Amino acid sequence: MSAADTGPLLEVDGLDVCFFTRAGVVKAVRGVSFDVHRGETLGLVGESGSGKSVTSLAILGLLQPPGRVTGGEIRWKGRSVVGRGGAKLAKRIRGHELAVVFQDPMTSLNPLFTVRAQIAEVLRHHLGMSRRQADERVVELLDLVGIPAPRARADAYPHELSGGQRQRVLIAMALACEPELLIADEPTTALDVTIQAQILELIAEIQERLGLAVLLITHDLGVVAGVCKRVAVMYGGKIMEQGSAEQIFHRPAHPYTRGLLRSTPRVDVVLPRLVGIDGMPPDLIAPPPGCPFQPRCDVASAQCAEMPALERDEEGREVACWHASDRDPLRAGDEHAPVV
Amino acid sequence: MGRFALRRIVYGIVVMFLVTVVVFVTTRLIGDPSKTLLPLTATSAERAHFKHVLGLDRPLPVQFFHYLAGVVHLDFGNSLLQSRPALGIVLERLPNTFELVGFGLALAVLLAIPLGVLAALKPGSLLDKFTVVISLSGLSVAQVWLGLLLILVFAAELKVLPSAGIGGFSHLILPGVTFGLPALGRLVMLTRSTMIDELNAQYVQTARAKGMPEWRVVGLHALRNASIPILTLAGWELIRALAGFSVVVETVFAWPGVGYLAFQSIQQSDVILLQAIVTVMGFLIIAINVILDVLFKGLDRRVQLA
Amino acid sequence: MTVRVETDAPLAGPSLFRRRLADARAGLRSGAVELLHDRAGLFGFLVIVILIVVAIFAPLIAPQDPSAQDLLNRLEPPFHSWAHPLGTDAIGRDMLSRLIYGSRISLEVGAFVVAIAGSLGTTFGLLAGYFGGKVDSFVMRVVDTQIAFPGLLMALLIIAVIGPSLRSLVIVLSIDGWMVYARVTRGVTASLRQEPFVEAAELIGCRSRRVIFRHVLPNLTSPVLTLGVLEFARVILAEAALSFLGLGIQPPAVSWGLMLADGADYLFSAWWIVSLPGIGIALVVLGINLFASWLRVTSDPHARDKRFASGTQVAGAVT
Repeated sequence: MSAADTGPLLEVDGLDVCFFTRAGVVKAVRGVSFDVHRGETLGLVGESGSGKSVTSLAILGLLQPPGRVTGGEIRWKGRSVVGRGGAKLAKRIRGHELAVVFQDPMTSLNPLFTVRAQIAEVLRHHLGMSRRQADERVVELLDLVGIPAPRARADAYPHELSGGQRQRVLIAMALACEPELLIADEPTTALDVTIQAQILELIAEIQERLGLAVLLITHDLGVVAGVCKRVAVMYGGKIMEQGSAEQIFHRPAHPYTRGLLRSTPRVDVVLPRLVGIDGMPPDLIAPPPGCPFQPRCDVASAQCAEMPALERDEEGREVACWHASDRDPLRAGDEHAPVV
Repeated sequence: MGRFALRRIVYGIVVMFLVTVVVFVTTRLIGDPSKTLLPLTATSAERAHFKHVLGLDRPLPVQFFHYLAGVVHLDFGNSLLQSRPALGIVLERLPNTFELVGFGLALAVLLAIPLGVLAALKPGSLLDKFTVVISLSGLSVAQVWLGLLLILVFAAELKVLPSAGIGGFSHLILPGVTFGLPALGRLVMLTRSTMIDELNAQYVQTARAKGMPEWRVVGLHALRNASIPILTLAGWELIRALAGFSVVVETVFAWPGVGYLAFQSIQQSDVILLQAIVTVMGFLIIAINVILDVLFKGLDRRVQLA
Repeated sequence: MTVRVETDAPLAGPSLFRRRLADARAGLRSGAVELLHDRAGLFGFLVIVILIVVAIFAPLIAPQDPSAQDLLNRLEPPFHSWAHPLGTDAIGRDMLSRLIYGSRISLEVGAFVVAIAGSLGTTFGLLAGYFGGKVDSFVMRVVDTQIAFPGLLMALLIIAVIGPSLRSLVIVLSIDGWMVYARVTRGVTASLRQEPFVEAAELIGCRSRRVIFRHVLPNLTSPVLTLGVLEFARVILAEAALSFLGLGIQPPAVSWGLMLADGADYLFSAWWIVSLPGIGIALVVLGINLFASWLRVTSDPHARDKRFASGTQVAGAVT
């Protein structure tokens, strides 16, 4: 098997992305690295402003001014997709081997074209299908994503569909050419809770059925729990912790991850007040030196003025913290520990 | 859709009635045409005769009734100077105005779209700045001056084009360009700004994310959405022209259209002809508005026209 | 995550006013800085300033009386003598002086029309947008109906009937011009109405008048101002057209439109009689348009950022 077959599908290596705005240069992504292998599901978790969506745009080659990749590498099957030469490769694989579903289904579809036309477009461009072939495949795809009466629905216009249905259409469109990696950037944020659950189930089901890799980007830990085997936590443009879902949820090592889990609202316990993380997200125009979480961390020390490297431990987990906990489960007496 | 069209038509008819009323009121009540339209030396006998011819000596409601009856039968009376039905004169000249306006607008739209799109693709670039300056200049010049300037350069100095009148295509060029240039300027600016907005829309990002080639993203996805406001403006320009904005160009080039006719009728104090012109053009505009509204409802299924 | 709210900011009182003033001054300063960087906008701004100065100080600046006929030197081309730096027209009147005095009329007509049409239109649009419902339908019906009328032809008819003069010109252009203000104002007001802060103001019991003046009106200044500037330019062009047709300013007053009419007869023999006012109009209107574009981009924070990021300053879109 060639290197392209055994290696990771997607490698993000020390990625830096900056936005050149009137107020200053915003360093949105700073030295981010992670891999996604075939058939793997990785969840990229972070609050707004952590740099996660920017990362996905950079991967797809869709960054527009004032944003630019200013450092690092992104490789698809071993070949770079950054820079001029990389941009060509990026264009070829977009919509074909690498597909994406964005956050807002209400505005992501062209209002003047039917669902059929928009999906068929992908099929005919990448796979060279004839109109008839494409039409058939469109119906298949709509059925795959659970749209009732797919043949009739195919001729609908986006405004005739509900939010959940539009998101399904977008997923169908992404799956049209049987991609190897699906990036889902906040796929459920704009939907209401019951629909959220349905869409997530759909993604999980499709992932299993088609064996494709999924990079799920979200701020919502609950979303990640159901779908992803591995999780990476981002904060202030850097990755704080990376590991299996089991490790992250049950034995979080980084103070930020612990804080996130602690602040997840509980249904089974009545708390006097919600637990939060004190402080504000960092200013990315003038980020503090060292660990971005330092100002808000309850175990921070003087050492944290220097950014710790991501240290890998025996279990294959990576943490960037001088004070990573002993990898113990959240203490037994800690009634705030969520049940995942 | 049918009900919508019907509502629009009914509304249009109501407005036509209003136009008739306003024209009537303007000529009878706002001023005394016999004072403003006859020379100061006119005797009272002449004024009385003038009034009688116009029917101004009868009670107002009677006047209005006669006038309205006439309009419904498409009888606007006889032109004071030409002594034949005013409507006929207007209809004779109408095709000429359409020729001028049609040519000018077609030129403007055909040039504006590529220019606007190219400018929108690279905002801030040299091409963009150049396009913006040219467009703003185009819509900043007084049509009078532009027309006269073109006549000076092309007819007098270079002697390649005729300076006035109607005839073959060579007669159409200068007036057409004079009429079309400001419209071109406006259309380019709108195309540019609409395309910039559309190119920033989420669905364009989706199209790019699907791997669609840039020409398709711009030309098919973005432009199709942008075409709605652009064509709306083009329709608006057409209506403006018919609302009288062809008067200046026609007068400068002595182009025998409805606008020039209006100018002439003012100069010759031909109130009846003027009334007829305003009313007929009013009706025409209303009719075109209705057609455009119905057309656009079909074009953009999202549009909810009240 | 807990978020701390700034509690030291005053919510009312004289210190609030002082803070607002400081904000406004800072805003103007940063606006001025941006204007200096945007050559096109700066050019436009200078043109407007020059126009206003020339118009106000016309009697002091103009070398001659614009109606004075120097028949010995009639049809003198520009740059031939110091007495008439820009030449003379068919009856020997000094072109430069006529241009200067003509700017007065342009300014006068423009200012009047914008003021009248603007206040009328904005008021109606505000009422329509704020109160919605029947008021809105009624006002918009009137607007749509009037738009359906053949504007310029109606203007011609009215002027023909009441006689041409400065007053009829202003009346006619105001009647034709108020609708666009109404439409724009209504749109902005209606969308502002939906904003949470307006809802909040109403919920705590502010009366309509207070809400309108305190919350809605300030947000209207920018679009209405930009519109007013653009309309000013349109009025200058309209005056030129109507005066050319003999239905605008009447002699012995001087206007650029009249100068165009005078010059048309001498187009081939004395090209400057037409071209000087023509160039003047073009420059002024272009300047106004450039300034208005700059104004529009500057008052919209999104566009402002985009302009910065693309690395260059360019006049935004003028619709």
